[in-house]
Amino acid sequence: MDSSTPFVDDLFDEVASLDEQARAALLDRRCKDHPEIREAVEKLLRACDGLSEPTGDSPSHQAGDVVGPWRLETCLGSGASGSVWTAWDTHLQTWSALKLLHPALSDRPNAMEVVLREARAASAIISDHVVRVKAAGRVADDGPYYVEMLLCAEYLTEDGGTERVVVGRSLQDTPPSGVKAAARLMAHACRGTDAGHRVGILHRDIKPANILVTPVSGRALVTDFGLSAPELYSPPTADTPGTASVSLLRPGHSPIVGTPAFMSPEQARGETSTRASDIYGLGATLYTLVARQAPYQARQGAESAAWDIVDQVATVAPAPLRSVAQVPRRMAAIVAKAMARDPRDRYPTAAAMADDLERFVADLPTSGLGLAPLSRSWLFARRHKAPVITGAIMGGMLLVFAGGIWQLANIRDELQQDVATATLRRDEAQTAAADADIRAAYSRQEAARAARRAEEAASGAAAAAAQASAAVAEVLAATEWGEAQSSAASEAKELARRVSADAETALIGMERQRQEAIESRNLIELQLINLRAELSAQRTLSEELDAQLGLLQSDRSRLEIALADAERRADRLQAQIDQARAAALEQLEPAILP
Amino acid sequence: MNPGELRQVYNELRGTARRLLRREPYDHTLESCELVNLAWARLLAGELRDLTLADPDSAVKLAVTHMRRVLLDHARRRRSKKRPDARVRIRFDDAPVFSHEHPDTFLEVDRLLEEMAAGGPDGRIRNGPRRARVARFALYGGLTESEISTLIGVPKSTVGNDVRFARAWLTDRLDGPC
Repeated sequence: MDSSTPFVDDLFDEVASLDEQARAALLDRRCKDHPEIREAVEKLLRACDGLSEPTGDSPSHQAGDVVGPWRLETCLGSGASGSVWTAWDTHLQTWSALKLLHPALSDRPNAMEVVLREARAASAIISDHVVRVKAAGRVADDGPYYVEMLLCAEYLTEDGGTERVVVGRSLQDTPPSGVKAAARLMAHACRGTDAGHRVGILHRDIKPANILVTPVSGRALVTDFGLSAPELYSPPTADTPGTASVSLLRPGHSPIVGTPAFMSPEQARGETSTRASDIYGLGATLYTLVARQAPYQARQGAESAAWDIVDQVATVAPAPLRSVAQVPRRMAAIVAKAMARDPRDRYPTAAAMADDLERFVADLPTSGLGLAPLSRSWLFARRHKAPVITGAIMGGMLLVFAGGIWQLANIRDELQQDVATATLRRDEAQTAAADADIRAAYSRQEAARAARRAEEAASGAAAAAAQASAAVAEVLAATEWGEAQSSAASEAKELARRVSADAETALIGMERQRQEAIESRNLIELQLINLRAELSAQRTLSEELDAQLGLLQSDRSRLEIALADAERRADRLQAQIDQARAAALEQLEPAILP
Repeated sequence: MNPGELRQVYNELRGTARRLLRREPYDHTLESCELVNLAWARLLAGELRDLTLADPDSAVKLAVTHMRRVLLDHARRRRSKKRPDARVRIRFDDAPVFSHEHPDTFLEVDRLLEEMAAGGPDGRIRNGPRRARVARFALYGGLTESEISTLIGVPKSTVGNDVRFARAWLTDRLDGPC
C-alpha cells in the first residue's frame, strides 16, 4: 500500500458526523482506488450508527430528580425539543419553570450556542404578556441543556384560608369559552408578541400550546419566545401530528421551524419568517379558539399528516371562519385580516390587532377607524346647546356657531356612515373572494372527478371489447370443432356476429360518453378561468375600496380638527356672554334694588 | 471481591481521580476506602499517596492501571466457556457491572483495545496508541471526556472522536469472526 492510502481511523473521524449523502460523496473521493479501506470504514459507520440509537431513549427525567440547583416536581408537558417542569430552585427557595432539552440534542455540536443565543435574545423582552427567560445553559459538562423561565403560577386562597400555588395551563389545554373571552386573551397574546417584535425578536411558532393563562387573574402570556431555532427540532415523519413543532427543509431554502396547522403560507413554502408570519400565527390561534378546530386538518389517507397540512397551507386558503362556526361578522373580519394569504394584507403590527380585539371586547367599532372619540365630541356639542337659549343677541351668534357644529356633526355622521358602508363592502368583497376561491377549488375537484369518470368509462369499454373478442374466439373455435354439424355451426356464427355487433355498438356508445365527459371537463375548465378572472376583479375592487377608505379617513380627521376649533371658539364666546351678562347685571343691580 | 465491594472501590477510585484532576485538597475518602479492601489501601497509602502530593496526574494514571488489573482479574475468575456476546452493549460508564455480568466480552474488549493500539490487523489505524489509551481511561477509569482531555492534554473534541471510534471498532470487531 502506498503512502496516499487513507487511514481507516482518520477517515472515520472525518465522515462520522456527516449525513448519508455527504458520507458517500467523501468516501467516493477518498477511496477511489482503495475499496478495502472504504469497506472497513463503512463497517465501522454501520456499527457506530447502531450504537447511537440507544442514546436517543436514554433515561429521561423523573419527578424528584435533582438537576443542578433545581428539584423537578411536576412535568408540565413534553414536546419535540424537550420537557417542561415545575422546578424548586434550592438556592433561591422559589418556584421556576424549567425546560430540559432532549439528551439527543447534546450530540448536535452547536446546540449549546443556539440555546444560549435564543434564550439571551428572548430574555430582552419585557412585557406583562410574555413568559420571561431567567437563565439558560448546561447543567454540567455532560448534563442536559436547560432554559429556566418564570413559572406561570398564582396563589389561590382556599376555603380554610390557606394559600396554594396553582400553575397556569396553556390555551390548548384549557380553551376559553365564548368568543369574547377568546378575544380578550388573544389581545394579551398580541401585546406580548408585539413586545417581542419591538425589540426585534420573532416568535416563529405561535399556537394555543404556546400561550399560557394565569389561573386566577386570567391573563395570557406568550411562552417559548425565540426558542424556535431549526437546530432544536426534527423534520416531520409519517406519524408526526399536525400540531407538533417541526423543522422543515425545502430544497433551496434554509430550515424553518413551526407547527404545520398554525404555520403561515410563506413559512410553509420554506420562506423566511417575518413579523407578519407571527401575526398570521395569532390569527390561526384565534381561529382555532373560536371555531374549536384548527384552520387545517390532514386529509384522509394522507401519507404524512404534517406534510399534508404543510402542502395545504402553502396552496389553499382555510375554510372561512363563518362556514365552520357561528361567530360575529366583526370577529370573522379580524381573523380574516390576520390570516390574509398575502403578508401585506395582514395587520401591520400585532399591536394593531390587539387594538381591534380590545375594541371588539368593548363593543366598539372594530374597523380600526376609532369612532369612539367622535361620539364623545358629539355629546360635547349637545351639552353646549344650553347657552343658545339663555343668550340674547350674543346668543344668536352662538346659535350660528352651534348650527355650524350641528352641521359639522351631521357631515361627520354621514361620513361615518360612508366609512361603515365602505368597510362593509370591502368585507363583502373579501367574503366573495373567499367564496370564489372555494368555488374554484370545488370546480377543480369536479373536473378531476369528471376526468376520472371518463377514464373509468374508457377502461370499461376496453374490457367489454376484450370480452367480446374472447366470445368471438370461443364461438369460432366451437365452429371449427363442430364442422360436421353445419347447421349448428352456422347458428353459432350468426350468434357470434350478433354478439360482435352488440359489442361494436356498446363501444361506440362508450366512446361517445367519453367525448361528452371530455367536453364537460373543458367546459368546467373554462368556468374555472372565468371564476379566476372574477376573483382578481373582486380583489382589485377590494383594493380600490381600501384606497377610498383611506381618503374618507383623512377627510374625517380634517373635519374633526375643524370641529375642535369651532368648539374652542364656542367656548370663548360663551365666556364672553357670561362676562357681558355679569357686567350688565352689575350695572342693572343698583337701578333695580331700592 | 463481590460485585458490590468492587463497585464501591471503583466509585472511590473514580471520586479520588476526579478530585485529583480538579486539584482539590486531600480528604478522608482514602481512609474509608482502606476499610473496603486492604490491597487497595496499600496501593493508595503507598505509591499513590506519594504521587498524589507530587504529581496528581500520574496518580490518576497509575490508579486507572491498577483498576484495569483488578477488573480484568475479576472477569477472568468469572470467565465461562461461552463466546463473547456481540449483542452486549459495551459500557464505558460502569466497568464493574460490565466485568461482572459479561466477563468474556470484557476480556475480549481489553484484547481488542490492545490490537487497536498496535494499529489494527492490517496496520491501517494511524493513531491506534492514543485512541486505545483514551478508551482505557474512559472504560477503566470511568472518566468523562473533559477529564481525559485535561489528564492527557488532548483537545476534548479529539477525545470525543477517539471514544466514538473505539466504540464503533469494538462493536464491529465483536460482531465479526472472533
